[in-house]
Amino acid sequence: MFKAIGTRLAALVLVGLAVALPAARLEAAGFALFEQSSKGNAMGGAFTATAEDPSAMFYNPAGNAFIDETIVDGSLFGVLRPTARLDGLNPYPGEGYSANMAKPLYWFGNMYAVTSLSKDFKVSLGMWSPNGLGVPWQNPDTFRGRAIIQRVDLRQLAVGAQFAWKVSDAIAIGAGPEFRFTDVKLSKNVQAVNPFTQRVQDIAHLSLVSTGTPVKVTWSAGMLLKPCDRLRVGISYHAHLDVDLEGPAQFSQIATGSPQFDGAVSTLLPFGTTPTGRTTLQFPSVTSFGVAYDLTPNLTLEVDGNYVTWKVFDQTVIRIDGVPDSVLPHGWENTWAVRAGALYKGKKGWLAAGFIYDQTPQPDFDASPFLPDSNRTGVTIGAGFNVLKGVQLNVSSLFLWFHERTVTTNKDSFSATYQTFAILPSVGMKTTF
Amino acid sequence: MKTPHTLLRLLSAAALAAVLAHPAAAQVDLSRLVWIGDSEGAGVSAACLTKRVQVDSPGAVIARANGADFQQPIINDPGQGGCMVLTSLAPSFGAEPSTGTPANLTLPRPYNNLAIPGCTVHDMLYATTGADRGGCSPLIDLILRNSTFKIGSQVDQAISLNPSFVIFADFGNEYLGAVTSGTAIDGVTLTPTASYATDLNAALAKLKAIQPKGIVTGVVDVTNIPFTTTIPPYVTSGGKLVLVGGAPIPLLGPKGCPAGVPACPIPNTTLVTLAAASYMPLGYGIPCAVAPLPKCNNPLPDSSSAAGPGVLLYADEVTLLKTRGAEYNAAAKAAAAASGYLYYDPNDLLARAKAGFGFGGATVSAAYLTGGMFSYDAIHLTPIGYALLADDMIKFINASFPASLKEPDLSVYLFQGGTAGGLSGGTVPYAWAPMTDAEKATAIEQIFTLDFSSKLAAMFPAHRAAVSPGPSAPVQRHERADRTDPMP
Repeated sequence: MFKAIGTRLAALVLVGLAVALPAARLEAAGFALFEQSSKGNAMGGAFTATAEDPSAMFYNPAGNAFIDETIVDGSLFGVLRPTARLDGLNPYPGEGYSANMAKPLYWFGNMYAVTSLSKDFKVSLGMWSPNGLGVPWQNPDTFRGRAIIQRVDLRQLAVGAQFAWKVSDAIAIGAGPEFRFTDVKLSKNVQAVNPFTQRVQDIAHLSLVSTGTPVKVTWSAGMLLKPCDRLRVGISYHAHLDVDLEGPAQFSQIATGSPQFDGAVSTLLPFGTTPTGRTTLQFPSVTSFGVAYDLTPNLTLEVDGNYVTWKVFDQTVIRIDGVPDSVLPHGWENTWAVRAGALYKGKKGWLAAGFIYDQTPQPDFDASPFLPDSNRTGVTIGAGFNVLKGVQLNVSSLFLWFHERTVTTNKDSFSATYQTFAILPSVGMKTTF
Repeated sequence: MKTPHTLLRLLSAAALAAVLAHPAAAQVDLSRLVWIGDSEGAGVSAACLTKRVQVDSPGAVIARANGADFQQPIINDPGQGGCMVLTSLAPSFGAEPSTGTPANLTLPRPYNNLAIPGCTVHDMLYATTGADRGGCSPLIDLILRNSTFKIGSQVDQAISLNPSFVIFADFGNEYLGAVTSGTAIDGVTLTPTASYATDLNAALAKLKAIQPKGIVTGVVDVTNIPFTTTIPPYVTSGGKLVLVGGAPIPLLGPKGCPAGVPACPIPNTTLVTLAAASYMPLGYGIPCAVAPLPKCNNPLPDSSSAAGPGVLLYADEVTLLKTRGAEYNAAAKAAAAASGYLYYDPNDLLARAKAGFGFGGATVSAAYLTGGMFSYDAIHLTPIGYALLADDMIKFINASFPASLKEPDLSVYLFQGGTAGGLSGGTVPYAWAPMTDAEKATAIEQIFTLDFSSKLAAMFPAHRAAVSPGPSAPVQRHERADRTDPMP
C-alpha cells in the first residue's frame, strides 16, 4: 500500500514540477490556449459536456460536481513547429525573400486536484496556461521585419479555486476565481533614414521585459445538464481580463557608419538608461457550449462551440517614460471555434480522437510578423493507460494546420504568405486517491 | 458520341472564361514602354543626372519589375550637374564634379526614356536640339540625338518607337521656375493655362494615333514640396519657434512696408523657399533684436535679381501658383479624357508621402533629409522616392485598366539606396566636415524635428507615433548652408 502511495506521490511531484516551470505557448487562435489536459486535447478540446476529470476546472467547472473521488491530474504539452515561415511578396519585403521562425522547444503544463466536501459539494484547485504566445524569428539582425518585431513571448498562468455543486443528478453548477500571472518580452530594432546615405538603416535595438508578475483576478463558471442517461449539455465561461504590465525599456544604439548621424541619434533615444515601459493587454472571455451523447456505454461523441470575445483586443498602447505613446491598432473580431471529439473507454484505459476548426480573430491589416495568425484546422488523437491501480498515464497529440494566409494590405506594408504547421504532443498523469 | 462533344464544349467554355477572367496581361504591354517627361522621369536627383540614380528612374523601375527592356541615356558617374553631397548635418553640401560621360550613346534607336530635365509640355512636343531646346537642359542633344536620327522631339521619337504603352509625365516645369526664383509672374515664370492645354492636347493627339494606351500625369503642387515647405515664415532657434509674449516672430521681407522702411514682418501665409538658407545665417530676414547678425533687419529678397533668386512667395503668389496648378491639372484631366489616356495625379502620392509610408516598421516620408523620398535639392526624388512613384503608378495602372503588372521589390531601394546604391553608391570620395558641438546641437534640433524624434522613440509604431507638442510648437528645419554673403 505504501508503495502504491509512493508511486502516486512521485507522479504528482513530476507533474507538479512540470507545471511550475515557466513556459507557455499558443495554439488556439489568437494567443489563447485550449489544450488544457491530455484527455480534453485528445477529444479536440470538445470536453465541455464530458468534463469528467479535474481539468473540468478549465473545460467546465460544473463537471467536478460529478466526481466522487479525490483526483489529481496533470499534463505537460510541448509545441513543435516543423513549418513556421513566411514568403515575402512585392513591394515589401520582396519576392524571393523568406524567413523562418526559430524552433526552440516551447512547452506548457497544467495541474488540477479535486476532492469532495460532501456528497454534492466539491472543491478543486488547479493551474493552467490560458494564454501564451511565442514568435521568435530566425536571424533577427537581418530579418526584414526586424523593425516590427524580432521576438515576442507572452506567458500567462492561471491559478484557480472552484466549487461545484451537484444540484440534482441532472444538474450541476460550478464557479470560482482565477488568479492570472502574466509576463511579456518584446524585442525589435528601430530604423530611420540616414541623411548621409539616404537609406533606411538600423539605429537602435529595443528590448522590453515586464518585471514582477502582476496578478489579476477573474472568474469562471459552468453548468452541466444531464437531461437523460446518455445526453449531456454543458456551458462554461471564463471572464475577460485586462492586465497591466510594466518593465524596463532598454535601447541599445546600433552604429550606422555615419558618425554625425550616430551622434544625433544618440541624443534622441534614451540610450544608457532604462525608462519604464507600460502597457495593458486585454485577454478575451471564452464561452463554451457542448453537447455529448453516449452512443454506447463505452463510446461518447461530443460537439462543442467556443465563442471568444477577441474584440477586446482592439489596440495596444505602449507608454515609455519620456517618449510619446505608441498605439498599435489590432481591430480583432470575436470568433467561433468548432470542436468535435470521440471518446472510447475500456477496462484498461481510454482512446480518443478529435477535430478542430478555429477561426482567426485577426483582420488582414493586423496580420504581420508580430503575430501572423490564421484560421486553423486540427486533428487530435490520444489514449489513457491504467498503469497502476489509481494511476493513469495519458498521452495525446494535436496536429494543427494553419491555413496558408497571404496578406498584402497590412498596417506595416509587409506583404507575405504565412505557412505554419504545429504538433502539440502531451503526456499526463491522473492519480485517483 | 455525345460525351466528347460535351467535354469539348465544356473545355472551350472554360478556356473562354479563363481568357475573360484574365484580360489584364493582354491589356498593358510594356515591351516598348516609352516615357516622355522632364527631370523626374529622367531620374535627376540631388541636382544631377547620374547613372547610379538613372538606373532607378521611375520608368526603369516599372520596366525592370516587369521584365521589359527600357533603354536610357545613361550618364556615367559622377554624372552631369554636380551631384550634391551632404557634408555635414549642419547641414552643408559639397558637389561632385560634373564630368559624367554618356554610356549608351550608340544605341541605334531612340531611348525608351526620352525624359529631358527642364522640359515643359511645349518642349516635349517641339524641342529637338540644343538650338530650340526652350526650357530643356542642354542634355537634350545627348538624349534625342537628332544630329544622327533627325526624328524630332520627345513625342516624335516616342512615336517612331511604335510604343506599346506611353507614360506622358510632365510634373510642372511650367511653373516650377516661379518657385525656384521666388518670382511668380503669369506669362513670365508661369506658362498660361491655355498654352499648356493646347500643347498637351496636341501631344496626346499625336501619341494616341500610334498608341491609344497610356497615362498622362498632372503637375505637382509646387507649393507643397520640401523646397517650399521646409522653412517656416518665423524666426526659429534650435528647431523651435522663438516666442515673444507667446507669439512667434515673423521673418522680415520687403513687401508692404511703410515708406522708408526696407524690411517688415512677412505674413504667416508667406512661403519661404529653401533658397533662403543662403541668406538667413547672415541675418537677412531676422530682426536685430532677436539675433544681432551682420545683415539683420535686412529683408529676405522677394524677387530674383542679379544677386540671386528671390526666396519669398507672398500669399498672392501662392494663390496664383495653387490656382495655376489646379488649372493645369484640370486641363490635363480633360486632355486625358479626350485622348483616351488615363490621368494620374501625383499630388495624391505627395499627400500620402507627407504622412509617411511604413515598410516593415520603418517610415519613409516627404520630410527633407530625414524622410528618404526627396533628394538634397528638395525638388527631385531619391531612388527610394522614384521606386515609390513607380510602385504607385503600377498600382494605378493595375487598378485602372485593369492590368496585372508586377510591383517592384522595394527592399533594395530602402536598404541599399537603389539597385546601384543611389547617390551614396558613387565612387567619388568626399570628406565629411566635422561639426562643432554648437553646430551639432543646432543640427540635431533643426533637422531632427520633434516629429522625427517621436517616431524614433516610439516602440511599436504602426505607421506614425502620436506626437505630443512641446511648450513651443515644433517646426520644420531651418536650412543653413555656406556663410558667404550672397548679396552684393
